[in-house]
Amino acid sequence: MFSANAKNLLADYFKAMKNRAKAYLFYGRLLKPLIHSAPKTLINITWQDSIGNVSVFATNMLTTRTTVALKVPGATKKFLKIFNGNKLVSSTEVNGGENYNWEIPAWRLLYLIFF
Amino acid sequence: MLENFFVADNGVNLCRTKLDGSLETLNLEGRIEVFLCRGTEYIKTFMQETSKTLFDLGITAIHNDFDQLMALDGASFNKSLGHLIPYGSWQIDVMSKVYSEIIAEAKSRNITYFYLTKEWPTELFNMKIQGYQVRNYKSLNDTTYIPLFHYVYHDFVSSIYGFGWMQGTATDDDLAAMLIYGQLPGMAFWQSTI
Repeated sequence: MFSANAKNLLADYFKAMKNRAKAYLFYGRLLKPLIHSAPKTLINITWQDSIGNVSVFATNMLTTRTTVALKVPGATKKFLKIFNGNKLVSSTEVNGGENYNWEIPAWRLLYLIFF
Repeated sequence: MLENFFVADNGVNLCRTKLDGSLETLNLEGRIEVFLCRGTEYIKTFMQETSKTLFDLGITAIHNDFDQLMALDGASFNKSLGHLIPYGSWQIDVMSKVYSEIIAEAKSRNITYFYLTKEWPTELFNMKIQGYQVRNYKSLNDTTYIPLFHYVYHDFVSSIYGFGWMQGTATDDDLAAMLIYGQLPGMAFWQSTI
């Protein structure tokens, strides 16, 4: 039987793939990680879609929320949107080259996209 | 009943044998498996004919499971079949022709979403197949294959059926890795209920 965590991850995944994730997880290109010094309890990977937008997918495998720092790509101002499945969790403006602190809940499939 | 079918259809002489001449068997996932030898005339048309049946049924994705060339499971000591013992480039030639003919059949039927995969990556067939069955990304104790030359022939390297969740073994960590690293989800339940 699936655990509650696995059920959440799969539900998030399939909703995400019907939203924006397919451009990355299916047709994307892997980039070097934007999250530096990620703890072993955080699975994360950086993708780029066919039009150049950069995305980071992550799952926090702790039982509590965790915060990681990632470097915003490029040198110009960007819109950062964070999704869980097909839901927009938050959006903000960030500056290229600066660090962004991302708070990630436990055992959900989260992804952020820089536009 | 299946044993009778196997014997009546000359199964013993079509399958791989061990060095001592006995039939190579594998007890896996609750069943006993034997392996068709690539040196037989039978195998030279078996997959193509099976594929035609699958195409007739509307199936467009075909996966050749358990064919892990050039891993050790390909050895055949059946001297009656006339091939070099136990390995040889003849194995590659046979499977290459098999894949080519399946691809040709799919093309002749104008199948849009035709997708041919095999178990494990190998550079030997990446000009033929579109994706590979791989294992958990976190199985770092295994040899890791990176089929770079796949990009010579394809725009993407796709991987399927990663056992990201497997009854009794794979963990939620494996599942998370499979999804986030972009592998097409695959979960093994081995005859158990979900």
